[in-house]
Order: sequence, then C-alpha cells, then structure tokens
Amino acid sequence: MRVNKITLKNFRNHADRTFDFSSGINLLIGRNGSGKSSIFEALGIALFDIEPRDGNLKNAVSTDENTATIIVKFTANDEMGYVVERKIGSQSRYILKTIDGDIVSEGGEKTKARIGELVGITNKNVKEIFKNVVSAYQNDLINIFNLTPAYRRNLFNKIFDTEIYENIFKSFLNIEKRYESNINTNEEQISFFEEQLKEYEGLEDEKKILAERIDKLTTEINKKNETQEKLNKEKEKLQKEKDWLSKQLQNLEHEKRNLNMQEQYIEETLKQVEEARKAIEITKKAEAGYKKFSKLDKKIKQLRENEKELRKKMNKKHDLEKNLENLRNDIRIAEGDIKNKEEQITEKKKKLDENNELTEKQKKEIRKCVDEQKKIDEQLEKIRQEKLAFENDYEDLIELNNKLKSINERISKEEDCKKKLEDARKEAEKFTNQLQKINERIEEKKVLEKKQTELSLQLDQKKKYRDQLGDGWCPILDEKCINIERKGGSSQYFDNVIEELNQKLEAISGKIKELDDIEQEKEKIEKEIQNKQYAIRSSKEKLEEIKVEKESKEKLLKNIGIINYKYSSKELKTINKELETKLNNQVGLSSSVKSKMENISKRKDEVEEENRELEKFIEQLSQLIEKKWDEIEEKRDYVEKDKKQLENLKEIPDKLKEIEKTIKTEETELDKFRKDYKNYIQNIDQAKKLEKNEEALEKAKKRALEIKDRIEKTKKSVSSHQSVDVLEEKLKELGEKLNQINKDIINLNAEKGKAGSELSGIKKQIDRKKKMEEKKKQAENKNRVLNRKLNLTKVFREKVKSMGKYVSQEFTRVISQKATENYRRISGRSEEIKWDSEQDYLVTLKNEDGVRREFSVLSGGEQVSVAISIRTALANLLSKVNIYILDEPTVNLDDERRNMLAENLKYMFDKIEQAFIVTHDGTFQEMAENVIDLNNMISQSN
Amino acid sequence: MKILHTSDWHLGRRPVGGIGEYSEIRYEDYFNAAEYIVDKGIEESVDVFIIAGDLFDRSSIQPDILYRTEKLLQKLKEQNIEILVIEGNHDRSYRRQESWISYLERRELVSVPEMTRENGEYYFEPIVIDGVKFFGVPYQGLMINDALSALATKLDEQEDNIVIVHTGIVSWEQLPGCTIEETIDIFKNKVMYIAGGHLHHFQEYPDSNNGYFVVPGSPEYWDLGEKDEKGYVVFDTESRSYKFYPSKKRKLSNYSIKDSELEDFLESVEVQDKEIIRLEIINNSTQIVKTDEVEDSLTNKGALKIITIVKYAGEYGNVNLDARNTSDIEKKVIEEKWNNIFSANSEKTVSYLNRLKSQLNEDSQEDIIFDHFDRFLDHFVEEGETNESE
Repeated sequence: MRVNKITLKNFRNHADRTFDFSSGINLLIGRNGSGKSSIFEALGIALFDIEPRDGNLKNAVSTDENTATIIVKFTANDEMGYVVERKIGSQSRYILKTIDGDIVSEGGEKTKARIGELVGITNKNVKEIFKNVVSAYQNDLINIFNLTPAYRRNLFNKIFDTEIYENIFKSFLNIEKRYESNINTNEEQISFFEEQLKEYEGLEDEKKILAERIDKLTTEINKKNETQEKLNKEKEKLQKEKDWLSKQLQNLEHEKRNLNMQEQYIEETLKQVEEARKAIEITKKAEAGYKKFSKLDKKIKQLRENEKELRKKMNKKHDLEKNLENLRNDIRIAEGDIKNKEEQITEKKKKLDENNELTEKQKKEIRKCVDEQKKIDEQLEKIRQEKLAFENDYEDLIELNNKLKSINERISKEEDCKKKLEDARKEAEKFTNQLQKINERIEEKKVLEKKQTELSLQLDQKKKYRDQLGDGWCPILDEKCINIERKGGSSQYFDNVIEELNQKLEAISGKIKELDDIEQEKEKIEKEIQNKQYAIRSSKEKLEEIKVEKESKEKLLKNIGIINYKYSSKELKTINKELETKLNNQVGLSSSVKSKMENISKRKDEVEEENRELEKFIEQLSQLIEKKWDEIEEKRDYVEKDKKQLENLKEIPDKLKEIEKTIKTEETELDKFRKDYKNYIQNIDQAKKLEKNEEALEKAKKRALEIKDRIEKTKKSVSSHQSVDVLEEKLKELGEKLNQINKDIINLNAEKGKAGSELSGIKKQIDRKKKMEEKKKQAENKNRVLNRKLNLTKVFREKVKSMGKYVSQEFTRVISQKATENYRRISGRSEEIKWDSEQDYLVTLKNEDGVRREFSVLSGGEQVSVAISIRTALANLLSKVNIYILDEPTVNLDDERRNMLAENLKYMFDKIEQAFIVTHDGTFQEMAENVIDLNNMISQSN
Repeated sequence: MKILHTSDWHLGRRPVGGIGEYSEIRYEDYFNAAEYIVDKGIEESVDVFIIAGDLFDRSSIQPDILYRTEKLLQKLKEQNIEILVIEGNHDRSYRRQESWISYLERRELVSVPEMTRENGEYYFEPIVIDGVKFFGVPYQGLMINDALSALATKLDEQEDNIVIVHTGIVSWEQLPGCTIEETIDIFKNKVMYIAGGHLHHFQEYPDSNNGYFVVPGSPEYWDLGEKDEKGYVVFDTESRSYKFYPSKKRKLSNYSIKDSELEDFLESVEVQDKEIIRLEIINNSTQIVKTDEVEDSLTNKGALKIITIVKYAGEYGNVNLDARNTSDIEKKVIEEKWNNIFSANSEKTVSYLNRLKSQLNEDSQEDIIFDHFDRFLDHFVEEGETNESE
C-alpha cells in the first residue's frame, strides 16, 4: 500500500492540515510538540482502529472542539485508490470510499475488515504488528531484541498471534460435544429402526404360498377358456345354417306373392285395350265440328279485347271534362282576391306619408336641445375644477400643521440626549481599565500551565527511568551506573527526585486553581464594554437625527405661508359654500334640458316604429298578389292541355256501339258446333293409349313365366336340408353348456383376484421393510461419518493446541534464515543470525567457528545491523502493508549506532514501497524523496 | 461462432533496470508472442478475438508501442475479426480521456463492453454478436467479488452469455484483484464461458471436463519467476468446448545447484542461443559465492541473461525460504508436524484455519463455526469412505 495524503482536522494540535506523501522515503522534520507523531497516530486510528497513545479516542479531539476528522487517501495493495474518513468525538463516522467518492463500506467493523483486506493485515494482532513491525518508536528499533526474556516472549507471541490457536483449542471443545450429542441422537434412531424391523419378519414365505396358488388358478382358467372357445365356434356354425334356411323360405313366400300380382295386372291391361278401340270410333265422327268451333271461339276472344280497350278511353274522356270545369272556377276566385289586396295597399301608403312629415319636425327640435346641453356641461366642468383645487390646498395645510407640531416635540428632547452620551462614555472607560488587569492575570495562568505540563513530562520520564534502572544497570552504557550507586541506589535517587517534582507540581496546581474563574470574569467585562459602546453609538445617532429635523421645520413654515397668501381676502369656509351653490344651479339646468329632449325622442321613436310596421305590411301584400298571379298562369296552361286531349277522343262512343253488335252475331253461330266439340275432347286421350297398352300386356306375360321357374328351383334346394326346428333344439343345448362354463370362469377369476390383492399387500409391506432397512443403513452410515468427524475434531483440536509453539518456531527459523541473508548483505560478514522462539526469542550471532554471542553483548554497530536484518525479514513475512514508520529512530543512540543506522536504513527500505522517518533533526535528509518540515509546514520534493 | 481468448500481453514491457541489448530483445519478445497468437487466430478463422485485460504494461505508453499495437489489431480487423478488450490493472485509467483502450475503441479497432458503478450499484452494457451477449468487467481490485456477484444476478439463464473479466481464482491465499471459487460458482448455468485474465499461467475451473472459467495466462514471461503453462484458448459456441494451445515465448531454464556442484554444472550445462537462465545456488559453505564469475561463464556459452539467487542453508538445513506469510508457515507446520490426513490437504486446512480465525475475531456464532467446520470435515470423510470401499 501507499499513503498519498493525510488530512487532519481538530486532531490534537492540528487544526486543519494536509500532508502529501510520495513513494520512497518521506522525512518529517519538526520540533518537539509540533505534532509529528500524532500524524501516524491518526494513520493507525484511521486504517487499523488502533487506540491512541492515552487509550481514549475522545482525548485526541482538540480542546474546545467537538469532533476530529482524519482523512487518509491511499493506494491499496490492489493498486486502486481509496479514501478512508474517520470522525471521532461527539460526531463519529467511519467510512471507506473509492477515489471517485463511491462508498465501499460504512460503519466500524465492516470498514475495518475491508481496509484490512485492502492493505493486507487481517489478523487480530494488527495492533501489535502496526506498533512493532510496521512502525518503531525511538530506539525500540533495536531495543525490542534486548528486552527481558519474559517481555520478549510476551511481545513476540502477540506479534505471531500464537494465542489464537489456544482459543481454537478451547472453543472446539463445544464442537466435540456437538458431534458426541449428534452421535447419541443418531444411535437412538438406529435402535428404533431395529425394533420396527422385527415386526416385518416371515413376509417372504407368505408371498411364496400366495404366488403358487395364483399360478394354479391361472392354469385352470386357461383350460376353461379353451373349451369355451370350441363350443362358441360350433354354435356359430349351426346358427349360420339356421339363418340361411330361414332366408330361403322367406324368399319363396315373396316370389309367390309376386306371381299373383303379375296375373292381376294382365287382366286389367286387357280391359283398357278394349276401351281404347271404342274411343277411336267416336273421335272420328266429331272431328269436323270440333275444328269449326275452335276457329269461331278464337275470333270472339279478339273482338272482346277490342271492346275493353274502347271502354277505357271512354272513361278517360269523362275525367278530362270534369277537371276542365274545376280549373276555370279556381281562376275566377283568384282574380277577385288580387283586386281586394291592391285596394288595401293604397290605403296604407297614404298613412305612411303623413308619419314621415311628423318625424322630420321632431328631429329639428332634438338638435336644438343638444346644443343647449353642451353649453351647460362646459360651465359645470369649470366650477368642479375650481372646487377640487381649493380642497387640495385645504388638506395640505392641515397636514403641514400636524407635522410642525410633532417636529417641535422631538426637538425639545435634545438636551436629554446629550446628558446620556456623556454618562455612557465615562462608564466604558472604567470597564476597559478592568479588562486590562484581567488579561495580565490570564497570561500568568498560561505560564503556570506550561510549567505544569513540563513538570508532568519530567515526572513520567523519571518514573520510567526508575522502572528501567531498577537494577542499577544503565541501558545506554551497558554497565552498572556509578552515579546512581553513589546516590544510594537508583530507586532512592529517583524517589527523591520524583518527590521533589511532585511538590512543585502541587504548588503550581494550587496557583492555577486560584485562577480558575478568570476567563469567565473576562467574558463578563467584555460584555459590559460592548453594552456601553452600544449606548454611546445610539445617543450619537439620536442627536444627529434632531439636527436634521430642525432643517425640515424651516421648510414646513415656508409652505404654510404660501397657502395662506393664496386665499388671503376671504374666509375659507365661505369660498367653499359659494362654489357649491354655483355647482347646484348648473346641475338643475342640465337635468331639465335632458328630460325635455328625452320626451321628444320617445315620441319620435313611436312614429318610426309605426312606419316600419306599415312598410312591412305593404311588402307582405305585394308578395301575396305576385304569388296569386303565378297560380292563375299555371292553371291556364292546364286548361289548354285538356282541351287538346278531348279533341282526340271525339269518335270513341260510336266505335263502341258497332263492336258490341258484331260480338252478338258471332256467338249465335258458335252455339251450333258446341256438342261435337265436347265429344271430341272427352275421347281423344283414351284413343291415343291403345298401342302402349298392347305392349305392356306382352311384357307382363313373359315376367310371370320367369317367376314360376324360380319358385320351382328354391323348393328343390330347401328340401335337401334339416328342418329349422331341429336346428333350434341343437342351439339351445349348446347355449346351456356355455353358460355353465362362463360361471365357472367368473368364479375362478374372483378367487385369483383375491389372492392377487393379498399378494400386493404383502409386497407393500416388504417395500416398507426395505425402506426402513435403507434408513437404518443411512443412519449407520451417518454414524460412521459422525464418528469419523468426531475423531478428526479431536485430532484437529489436539494438533491446533500445539500449533502456536510450532508456528512461532517456524517463524523464527525462517526469519533467522532471511535475516542471515540480509545481515551478510549489509555487513559483508559471514556470521549467522539465530533467533529462536524456544529460547524466549533470544537473538544470537554465530561466527564461522561456531562461537555464539548474545545480542546484548554485541557492539553497538552490530546490534543495529542485526536488528535491521531481523526487522526487514519480520516486516516482509508479517505485513503486506509494505510501509515503514520510524519515529525518532536516532534518539538515545550513541554515535556509533546512529551512524550505522543511517548507513543501513537503505537496506531495510529496499523492498518497501514507502517509508516515513519522523525526526527533529536533519540526519536522513539526503536520502529522502520527500521532506515535510513541520516547523514551517513547507513540503518539498528532492 | 469461434472465439480466441488471450490475455495479459503486457505490450511495451521492459525488464526492471534493464538496458542495452537485453532490454531491447525482451521488448520485442512481447510483440512477437502477441503476433504469434494474432496469426493463429487468422489461421483458425475465428470470429471474435478477446483480450481479457493488460494489453499494455502501463497506462501511459510510448508512440512506438501504440503504432505496433494498432498494426497488430489492424491485421485482425482486415479479416473482419471482432476484437473485444477490457482494461486490466496495468492499463487501467481513472479518466476516459487518458485511456489508451478507449482510444483504440474510438479508432474502431476494438470494442469494449462497458461496466459502470454508481452509488454502490453496478451497470453493465453487453456487446451482442450473433445473439451471444459479451459482458465486460475490467480490473476491480478487491471489489471483484462484489462486481461479479452483481453481474451474476443480472444474467438471464435463457440467454447465451459470455463474461470477460480481468481476474483469476486464488483459493487459499490473498492475491489482490483475484476472485474465489464461490463467486465463480454463482455463474454456473448462467454463462457459456468466462474469459479470465490477470494470472500469468493457464487456469481452468471447475476442472478440465466441466470448465467454464478459463485464464489463458500471459503469452510471455512477465516475471522470470513465473512457472506453469502459458498460452491462448479457442472456444467454440456450437460445441460449447474450448481448447488450450501453448504460446511462443523465449526459452527460460531453471536450475537449483549446491555451491559444491557449481563448477561441474557450469562445465556440463548446455545453453541454447539467447536463452534466459535462472540459477538458484544453495550455499552451504561460509564463503561468499562469486556470482559475477558464474554469470560471465554462462554468457560466454550464449545465454542472453542469467539471474542468480544465492540461498544460505545455515544450521537449520534448507528451510522453506519461499514462505511469504503466516499461511505459508502454517502450511509447513501442518505438513511436517501434524502427520495426519490434514497434512495431505494442507492448503485446504490453512484456508479453513484462516476463515476460522476471522470467525473467532468477529465473535461469530457457534452454529456458524460448527457449520463451516462440518463442511470442511466433509472433504476428509468422503475421502475416507472411498478408501473403505476400495
């Protein structure tokens, strides 16, 4: 991973700061208290949820603020950019976003897990790894290998997280128990199945007996079926013979009936031949009379047609004559109507002329009235204007007088204001003096607090030294400290010093306490000063306003004078009354002219209305006359037409009389031939049939002979067979036999069916048994599996228990190897580093001759080389974070160690993507890619 | 339809710190390996050519790299072969204007099936060819499982789907940007084929008979420590089957020699012209190995480049120097100290142990822990049963 940017807001002493980092080595230079270390404290909090130095997140929020924000932009191990934002304090928030701002996860646990994945630390020991592997504080870089055996064991076991295996061992006891209880439940089930299976014994034998019985029944049924089939065939043959015989007998009867019918037909036909011959005789005699009758009849029919035609024309002539009379009457009536209407029109026109004359007169009168009205209105408008001007002036005057009154009132307050201003000024001065004194005391308090912090730090340090130097051994010089011994042993020495510091601290605390309320007091006085300054400002503003009012009073007086001068000679009320009288007079005049004009107009309108009515009436009458003339014209046309048609029909009555006479003569002639005609008609059909009847007679005789022949043949073939009665007797016998066999078969089948259902019942039971056996088998299998799992769990648990020991052993072996490689590369020497968890993580250096030296007796330079070699291997193996943070690595180092460190750090950072060195001096400046100077916050790149 | 699937060409790569002849030859090697596959695609007359990410070695490239790449793609275009490309971790860009893949798309040389993410939601725009829908998932880093799970829920089983994604499966250790078996399992029956990438060696999942997730591997060695097969894959949509073909790459020989046998080795070893040799020397003595002399000797025999790695055996003997993390250590302990059925399945056991640790750290419920453990044991029980039946 790579940290690109850290932004801190209200975090410890960072109000709002952003630090940009590059890959490679980033150097952070700053004085003590410049907040160097808190940058990486924040990094730990944001990325790994590592608790801050003092264990309380809330303390990391700057004093006087509620919420601190840490924003870290980083490139994760998947080469993608991410932003983590963590807020602590009263508003808490923990959120991971992609570089585009899309939210990946929100909330503590989820975000922590996701970041762990992204940067490659997922263990629970992340805190130990971050504190001891990823970062190193001061000379811890070297000193963690120099701790007491117990400290070392504790620290590295935590780093390698060996405790987790113990936890697994413990928590897996329950899993063992679960398997055991599952096995118990399963065994109970198996014995339940065994109990059930007992009830299913003996089923196979029953099944065998039933199957045999069914086989026997089947054989018997088959035999019966064969007999049945044989008998059925025999029955069928007999039935066929019987059917054939019956049919032949039926045929015979039928042919006999046929023969009878044929003989009757021959007799009838002979009679018809005789009649036909008689009819021929009669027709021959009547033939001449028949022909004459037919001819006459045709002629008469033609004459009657002609008569009918003439009668139709006669009727038409009568209709035309009647129509002509009606038309002539209509024309006469219409002509009388027209004359009447023309007289009415002449009368109405006379009245119209009279009215027009009257209207002309009225129009003249109206024009006169309008002129008069116009003059009166002009006069009226003039008086109104005059009155309006007067009323405006009057209102202005009243308002001006009111304004004058109120201005006078405000001006009178001037003196009062001046006095208030003076008082406020005096008081403000008093409070300002007080504030100055309080500020001095606050400065004093700050000095005391700073001194208190310094003393506490000293006290902590001394306490630490007392603990470290408990045995009087100086870790720096690696020998007994003579100074301490002289002063009565280390604890005595430090106890004294600590006691002294404690007393000083108490004294200062007392003083600070006395000054506790001083800030509140300051605030109170500042508020008072503010109040007074406000009073001064407002008094000044008021005086300024009064000055302006005085000026506007002058203007008012001037305006009042102007109005008074305008109406100087008269009382204002009198003027008003005069104007009103004038106005009323003019209004009276105007209304009398108006009513006169209205009367004339009304009468004029009435006359005009009457005229319109008259004109309309005349118009209507004229239209009616026009219409009547059209009607008369049309009817005259019809009269002409009718006259012409009557002319054509003049000869009809004579023609009709003539034709009636001719018809009568011809009918008398017709009656003479009527008898012959009748005889001919009655006999002609009969005569025509003779030939046909003779032919039919011949055919019938031939057919009768054929039938007789067939009857003979049939009689012969029937006589050669058994009689129908014998056959029926035989069939009855066979039927009885078949019935018996059917009954037998039904009984046998019923018996077989019963046996079959018994068998299927048993089969079902056998299935059930098999299923149960299957279940039992499954349960037994499951039990085998469970037992095996239980054994595996025990083995797993047992092996995991000792896992921690082996893992740490393996870790130290691998790290020793890698550290040796690193050491040889760094030092160019062939010694071997040995680090063993089994020896409480003791580090030794073995030379070519096999001589071992413990870490504590190595020279300063050797210690640095060995420590860096091991740490590099450790970082590679335990952390995928791929960054390194060294916090003041040179503090408390002697020159030799310091130089060695500066020289060898590059090996350590060889495979590291990004490193941070926090320092108060410029030791590593030449090797850094990016230098951040916290003293003046200027970041620069080399 | 015939589809050629290749990945991780890393065009434009030069060896770290390499200058001179070696650097120039290796630069050409990547283009040669790519052109070999292009020619094979034309020879097989495939319809679609998929490059599943890391076409370029870097997101910003030199003019010569672009010129040669366009020429290669042009060759396919002239045969009317559709080219589908997604972005990998190497050629990924944060902004569209800066993406060379996007440039190639605008030049109408390749098509890119789009994926976007907005407010935690994923959106996919497949490219449809002959009724087959091609979905693309560019490099996602650790979010890969989220993105793939989102895609799986959006796929219609009734349709013919192919997914192109820059990821491979890593089951028991963490490798950034890789997915896990459980995620690929969701795609079963929903896809015809998943064209993977990112890994530099051939991988098929679930197995060679039922495989539907395939990574062809990089055609050339990106890193000289890479092992296993490399090549390209041809998938046929008719028969729904694929075939792996090895790629054409520079010869690389790996040797592990004890320092005492070094002299003999140098004398007897046969060296092909311009091959690369990776030589691991196990140093049992206290003397420092003179690697310069070793390298000179092999160069004289015609080798292009020699990489020597010296390892010190030390008092513990030759321990597992490849151990990179806690999981490696645990694996070794289980293999060497447990001596039981778990030892034979050390990777599975370590993988389970990792999960168990995080469960304990997260205070998971006992039921869940039991459930996982039981499933873990299932593996051994099945094996046990087959042994019984034998």
